[in-house]
Amino acid sequence: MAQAIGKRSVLPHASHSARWRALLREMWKHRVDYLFISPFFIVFLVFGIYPMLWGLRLSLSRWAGGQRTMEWVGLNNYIGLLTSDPLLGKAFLNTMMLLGWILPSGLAFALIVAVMLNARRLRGRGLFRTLYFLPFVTSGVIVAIVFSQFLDKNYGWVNLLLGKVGIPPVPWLVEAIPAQISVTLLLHWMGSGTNILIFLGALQAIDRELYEAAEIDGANAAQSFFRITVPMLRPVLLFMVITATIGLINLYAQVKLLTNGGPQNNTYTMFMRMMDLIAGNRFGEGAALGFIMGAIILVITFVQLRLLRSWWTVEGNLRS
Amino acid sequence: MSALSPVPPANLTKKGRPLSLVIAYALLYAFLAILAIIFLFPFYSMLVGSLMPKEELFRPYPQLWPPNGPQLTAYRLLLQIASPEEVDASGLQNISNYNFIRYIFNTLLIAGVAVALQVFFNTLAGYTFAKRHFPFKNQLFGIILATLLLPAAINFVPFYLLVAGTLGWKDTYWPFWIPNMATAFGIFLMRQFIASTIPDELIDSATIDGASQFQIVTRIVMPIMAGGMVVLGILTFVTVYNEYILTNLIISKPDLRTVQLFLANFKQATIRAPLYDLLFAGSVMATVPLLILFFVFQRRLVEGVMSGAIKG
Repeated sequence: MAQAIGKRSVLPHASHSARWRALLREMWKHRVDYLFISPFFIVFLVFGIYPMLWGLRLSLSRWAGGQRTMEWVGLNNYIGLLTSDPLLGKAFLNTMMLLGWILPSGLAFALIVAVMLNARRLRGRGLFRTLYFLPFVTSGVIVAIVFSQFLDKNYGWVNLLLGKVGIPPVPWLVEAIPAQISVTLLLHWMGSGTNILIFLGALQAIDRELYEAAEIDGANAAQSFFRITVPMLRPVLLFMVITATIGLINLYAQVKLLTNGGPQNNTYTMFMRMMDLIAGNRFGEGAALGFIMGAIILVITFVQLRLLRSWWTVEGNLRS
Repeated sequence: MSALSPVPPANLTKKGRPLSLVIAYALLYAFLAILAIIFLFPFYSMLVGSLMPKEELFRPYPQLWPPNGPQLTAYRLLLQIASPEEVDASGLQNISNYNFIRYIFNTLLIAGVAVALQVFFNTLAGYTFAKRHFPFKNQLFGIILATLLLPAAINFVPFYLLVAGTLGWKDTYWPFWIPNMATAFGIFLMRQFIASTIPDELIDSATIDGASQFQIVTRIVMPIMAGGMVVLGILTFVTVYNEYILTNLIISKPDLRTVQLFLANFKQATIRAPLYDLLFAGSVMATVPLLILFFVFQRRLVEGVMSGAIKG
């Protein structure tokens, strides 16, 4: 407690109540500081904590909203969602599949482009960087509109270009695998710029002298890349993996407007299930789904942290 | 590398650079240029599509330029200045349901107020955490950072029921303003900016001169931190301007719709035969304000996104 008071702390052998009084006096003196930081805490209590606690109770009930009565159902909402909800299982598999191929391909692509942009004698780096980052300003709604025309079987650009190299028209939004590829393409187009930007910032923060020292020690380009560049990028890699995971689990607008979850629910996402439950006034199940999605995000984040950390130490041992 | 190698490389160009390096750079520029075209092309196709009547959009192959020259009919329809003949030809039932100026105004109102609130309250808190010393400061800041790890999906349904039901904020803009008026990310970002740019001596001398804490924030911190506030302001603006999920749940009156909600409803209503000319014209008009912001502040924005991720 005395540490919290800081430099002007009371005597160490002062009585318990005297210390409390001194602390309260100190806090009263800083009331303006507390006032300045209070908006966040007020808003977080009212719109964060309170709904979450109420949502916990709601997730154990059946409630259709309004004046209707709330009926206690115990864990039935959770059990129902996890065992007998075919759509949610499909949505989970879709998300995991997206995660499985978007994360590695997206991050590898962004890293390669960032390394290219970091080439020592490159001119127009700022221009390229800006152009790649441009999709940042577009919304999921607008990107979905543009891509749905792009990928149109008969009138779209993608099939026109494929036709030029002799590939017959692909029914992009009508069949399962092409629709999943369409969603992947859209997300890559939307998100790569930000990832390139973050990687480039991290690359530029690496001291050039490290590479020069490695060169003098006789390291080739590949060795420099895997022994210097990749290890230095781990903190941002971790940040990007976790943000991308959360983004994919909360994916909604783009897919809703591009494929509406179809064909045969092959691009249906977990957040779509949540919105459908809300639309059907099934608020108890919706609240339960929120906690399930939160738990999935926390578990995946934890696994990713562990994986990246073990990869970290293995490589560290190899180096030493 | 070449300076250290004992044998000079065999193939040199006129300027004395190894030929292999010149070729490597030529390939690099070619690749980066193709990539730039891929990133820009959707914007271009959106613009060209908005200038064509929909018969031209549904040709067997897409057009790089309107075959009969650019036409502004779609824009005139959305801006409510089309001639009666154009309205008839468009086949739209009730043209006043496509009042785009109104939707742009609604969106700017939502985003503008959200930006003002967030920038003000986050700067206030960011300054306090960067420069002030008070009991439990580190614990309170720790709580703020910890909330960043809370997945938003957890309380999405009860949050919606709270704002739309209990508080009665359905068909109002309060849900976009009040719950996010101070954010963990914003406080963190402003604290980083303020801690690294404003010297303690400046704050101390203002305190000695008798300035109140509020005066220090509004007269000293905010003018110096204008750049950082712009970064936070743009990130907030883009997020709120492009918001769709909450808007879709909260706003049901047509007059209160945002640009994104209008475009999404329109797209879904015409799912069988999308009216791409109007959809693209709306998309272009919706994107232009953000593109202007982007290009005016692109250097700051790029630095903000880069440093936000690296320091975070």
